[in-house]
Amino acid sequence: MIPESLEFCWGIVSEGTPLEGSRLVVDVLPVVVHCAPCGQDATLDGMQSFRCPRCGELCAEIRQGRELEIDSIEIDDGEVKP
Amino acid sequence: MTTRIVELRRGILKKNDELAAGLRANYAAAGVLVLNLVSSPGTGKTAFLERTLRELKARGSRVAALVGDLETDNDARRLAASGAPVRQINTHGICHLDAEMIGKHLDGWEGVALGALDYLFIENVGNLVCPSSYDLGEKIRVVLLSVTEGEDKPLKYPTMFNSADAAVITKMDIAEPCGFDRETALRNINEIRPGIRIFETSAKTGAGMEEWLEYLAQERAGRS
Repeated sequence: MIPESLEFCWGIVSEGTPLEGSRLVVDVLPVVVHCAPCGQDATLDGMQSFRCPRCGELCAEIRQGRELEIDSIEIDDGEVKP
Repeated sequence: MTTRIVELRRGILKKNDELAAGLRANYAAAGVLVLNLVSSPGTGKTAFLERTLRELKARGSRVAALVGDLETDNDARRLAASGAPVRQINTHGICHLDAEMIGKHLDGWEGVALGALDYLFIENVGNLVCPSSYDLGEKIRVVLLSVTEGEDKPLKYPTMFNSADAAVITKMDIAEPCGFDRETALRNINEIRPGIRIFETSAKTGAGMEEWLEYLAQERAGRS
């Protein structure tokens, strides 16, 4: 997911809708894998290698990083156009 | 003026995921093993699938294929030469297949019932980016990589390789003239998707096909 692309498109698709002028807040979650030998989760720097940064083992189990969700929306009542 | 926060926690791909879950339940009820083939354009998905369909049919398996392309029914015509029922999905500019397209094309498919199939193959649009986000309800996502593409493709497209259940290297018959570095390719795939099954094949010579067909049979037996 590329936050810049999302923000670029947001301006275009929200134009002329009640959401025009709204701001998109993008929260990028890093990839978290579970390392079996260490018995704990580990956060990866990127996606070039799925190795545990502690012990160097390859980790197949992904615990976080595949999400693509609308978490919440913040609304100012009274400012919404009809 | 009051400010309020509405918690949504809604998956952006929720609609596709729900449709895919419905398809997955239908496939399971019908006892058909469904595979989604993804790769760059030109990797050889169609040639690989053509050979797979032919060999499975020769072994008495009941097979069918859905094939996605932006335009033309060239691939469907090529695949139909295997004798298997094949249906083309033209996306008209959309760069991936989604669960709704699959559902629609399964519904109106004359003469083909899921319950009468052992295997259904879905050949996705050639693209290593967007198809990774769209679940088609498949049991196995197969990512293909040809020896002409470069060993670092898994590193360049980690999202796709990481979401796959099996990897197929195609065009192994020309690996040598292409200077294909097999060790590096295998290492890169494993770095991105640890433990994934990798098949080294040639649709032209048939190399590696036996192992691939054996894998399909095992996966199918595992499911029913």
